[in-house]
Amino acid sequence: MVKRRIAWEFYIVSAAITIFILFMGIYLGIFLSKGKIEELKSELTSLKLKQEDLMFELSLFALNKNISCNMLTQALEKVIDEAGKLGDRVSLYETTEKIKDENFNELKKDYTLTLIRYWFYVEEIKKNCDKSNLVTVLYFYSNQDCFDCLSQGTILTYMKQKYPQNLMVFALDYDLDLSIISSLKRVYGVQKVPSLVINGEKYEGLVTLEKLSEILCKKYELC
Amino acid sequence: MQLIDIAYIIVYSIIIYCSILWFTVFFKNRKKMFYNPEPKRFPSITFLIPAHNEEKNIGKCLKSILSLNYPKNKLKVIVIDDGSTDKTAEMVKKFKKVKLLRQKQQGKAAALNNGLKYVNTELVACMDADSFPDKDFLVKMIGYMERKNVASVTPAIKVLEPKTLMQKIQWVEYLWSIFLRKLFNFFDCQYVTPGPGSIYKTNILKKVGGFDEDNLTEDTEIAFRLVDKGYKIENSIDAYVYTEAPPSFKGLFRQRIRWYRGYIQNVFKYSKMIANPKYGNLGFFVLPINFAWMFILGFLLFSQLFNLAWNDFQYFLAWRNINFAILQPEIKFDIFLIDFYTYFLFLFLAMGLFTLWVSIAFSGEKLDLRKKLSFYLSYIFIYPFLISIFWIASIIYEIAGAKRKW
Repeated sequence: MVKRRIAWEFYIVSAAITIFILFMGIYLGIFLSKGKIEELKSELTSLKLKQEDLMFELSLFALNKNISCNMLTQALEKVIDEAGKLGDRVSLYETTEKIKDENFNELKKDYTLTLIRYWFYVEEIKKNCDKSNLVTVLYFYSNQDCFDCLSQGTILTYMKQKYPQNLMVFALDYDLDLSIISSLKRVYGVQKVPSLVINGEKYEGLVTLEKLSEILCKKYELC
Repeated sequence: MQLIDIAYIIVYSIIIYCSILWFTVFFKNRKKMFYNPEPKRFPSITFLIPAHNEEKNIGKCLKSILSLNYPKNKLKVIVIDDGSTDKTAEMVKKFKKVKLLRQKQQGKAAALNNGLKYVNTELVACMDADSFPDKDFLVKMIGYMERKNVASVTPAIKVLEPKTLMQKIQWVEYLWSIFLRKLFNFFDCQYVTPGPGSIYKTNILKKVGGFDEDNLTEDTEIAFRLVDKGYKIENSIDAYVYTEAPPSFKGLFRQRIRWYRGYIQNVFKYSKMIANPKYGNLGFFVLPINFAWMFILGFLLFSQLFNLAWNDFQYFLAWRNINFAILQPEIKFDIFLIDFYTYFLFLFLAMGLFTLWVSIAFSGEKLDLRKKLSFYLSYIFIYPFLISIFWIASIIYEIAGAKRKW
């Protein structure tokens, strides 16, 4: 009969190494998460700086109509495109990041308010400049329980790439706890996701590529 | 963090813990991997070869045994013809030194027991008719038999001339098994004495009652029984046996269902060993963790399938909604694509490649990327799915109580 022993030393050493590896991973995760938040913050700061710049130009435009509408729209289109890309990264962080930074919620609200301010600017320009072929889309999405949101987002991205000059998309989180979001939802009667508000007109549920093309082409003559 | 993330972290922790444990066992014994005790003498040995319709292979098998690097007067061979309907017996009769027994078809274990009655040598070796030992096979193993309490020595099994995809995958898998079996040996927890090429002390094998004839995997059962009776099982990492591997998925599926169901049955039969410190590392760690592995494999397979079916389906749907147009990539490679899981991904990749490398290095093979790259790739990408499917199917068959057949 051989007397068998349990090799405790191996179990203990392995447990120690495993815990070390796990903590390394968690530490790295937290470190990366912080890094991403910093990155988002600095991008948001630069976006807000551009916004302030534009705000002054709009004020000047209100005083003196000599500033070209085209110049203004082009400048606006560029920053809104940038804002959209920042939005993609914000939602990427939100949906994939496992170790969320505590500051993220604040940052997202800050970003959303910045985006909505841009939307107001565009609406103002549309009013003052007779830009009938400039279409704004408020896109209400949710990160929870929204089967069609991925499709709707993809369709909008596709259309945006097709009509970069004349289509401006503002993606807003339906569930975000901001009073302006609630007010927008109330004003346009948005009750579910996904919903689009195209130039003030509400479309509930998934708006397919065909339907969106039809609206943009026939109604607003983008094509 | 959601429930699924916590489940993943637990599963990853177990995988990492097991890998690290085997790594520490390897690290501690790294200089003894190739050590085999020098034999002081050459004990007499009998090869038992059960054969059922093996006319194609048996000749080659017998030739390789008879030309082993071993004193000819110490070497006996018995072939047990298990109800063959082909020319197996005629083939065997060509070899004058080989004793032929015939029986009605009763299965492998019965054949071995039948042959064991005629064994009067000190040692006995089991060999499959479709397997061929290397020339130095016995010399590498018999040294261990001079140790007290050692009842059996297991060999290093390799796949013979892999041709099909399934055989190529198994070729890599067997190399990994060779490496792992040696680690199991160091950790004193081998629970299989593989059919082709394991050798036993005849008196001990007879004392414990020979092979269990009512068992799907008699080679697992005998190992459990030897451990239960307090004997040691050793392993030689370079006593090579080459064996025919199932060429098709169907054949492999049937083989693995038999193996894994056999394992499950034997674990039930020897359930007293589970978590029993009397049985050392096998009872304390290996058997319980194998139990956990079944759940882990199931979890990983189903979560991956779910991922494929649900998330990727959603992406597909979204893509279809834009008529499969190609979008300009919006997000390029940046910090936002790296997270917690990326760390694990790279960790597992590193561990996997390391395992592959040591498996190749310690089974006497060469990396040979030009010829073998396809082997490694199919092993890495297909094997995990195969093994999960086989285990889950085995468990389902076992629960459903399907008829236990060969």
